Amino acid sequence: MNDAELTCRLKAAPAPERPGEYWDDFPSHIRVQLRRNRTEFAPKRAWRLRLACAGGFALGVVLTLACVEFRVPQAVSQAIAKQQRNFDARLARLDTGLHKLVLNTDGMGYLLTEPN
Amino acid sequence: MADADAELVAESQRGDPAAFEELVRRHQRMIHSLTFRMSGSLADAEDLAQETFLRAWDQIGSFHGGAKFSTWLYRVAVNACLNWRAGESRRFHLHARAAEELTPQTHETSSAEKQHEVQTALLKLPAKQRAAIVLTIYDGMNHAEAAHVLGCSETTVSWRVFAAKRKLKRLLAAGGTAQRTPRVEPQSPAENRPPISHE
Repeated sequence: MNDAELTCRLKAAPAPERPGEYWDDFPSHIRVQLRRNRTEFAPKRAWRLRLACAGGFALGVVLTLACVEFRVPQAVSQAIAKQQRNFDARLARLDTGLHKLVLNTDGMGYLLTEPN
Repeated sequence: MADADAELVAESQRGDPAAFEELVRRHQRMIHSLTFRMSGSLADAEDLAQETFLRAWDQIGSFHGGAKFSTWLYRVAVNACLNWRAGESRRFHLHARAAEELTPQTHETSSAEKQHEVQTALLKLPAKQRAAIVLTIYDGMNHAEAAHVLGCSETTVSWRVFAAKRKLKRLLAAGGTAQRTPRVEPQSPAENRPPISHE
């Protein structure tokens, strides 16, 4: 059997015919199915919307908590830095006072006065 | 989109079911023919045709008019057929129905016999080879058009057509020989089961 004979043999076997009413009804049947699918999908979409809202709310809560947690250590570190600066300033003043005490022959009276 | 369906497609994309119904009316025979060749059963062909049009409605927004609407619809239908995986029980019913629908009765003409023989041979092909044969021989597409519908290269289509023809020649030649021998009716539906191949 060559290709042409095969093609001829395949084409000689038509698909079974359906009654005319079938072709008249099929498109409207599809339209009904589309309408049914739309109504079936509607509650599903609402359910998805609710899930999305809940997810968004949960994400918001998590982000807020994360921000708050992040700010607490930041405040502590700022306080420590401030104390450090304060300490450095006091140490510098003490240094100056001691220097004056050592160099000044007027004695202990300088110890009681604040350096300027 | 220089297509006779262009206006109906545009209206369908805007959500008009009446326009889509008209598209279904225009293409229903073509799609039923394709799904029948692919499934071998009128009932399954109907299910597949319905699935094709429902999928087409869902996906019509993705049709941008690069090809003809009928080509795009073919692609949807072929994908529906290729993705159609029948379970064993469904397969059993398919063959029972196919045998019921296609087995010629004694008073019917020999064309019904030939139709049965050809359809049985087609069902023995792997699904992708069957699709290639249906598109190129029954729907008259060239290999480039068939490649577009099947989403593969032209070379792949050529190979599938070649392999399918080789197998069909063997099956139909064997069938022709068997035709001359007396037909033995199977005792149970399982014996009447031609294997369907899903590649």
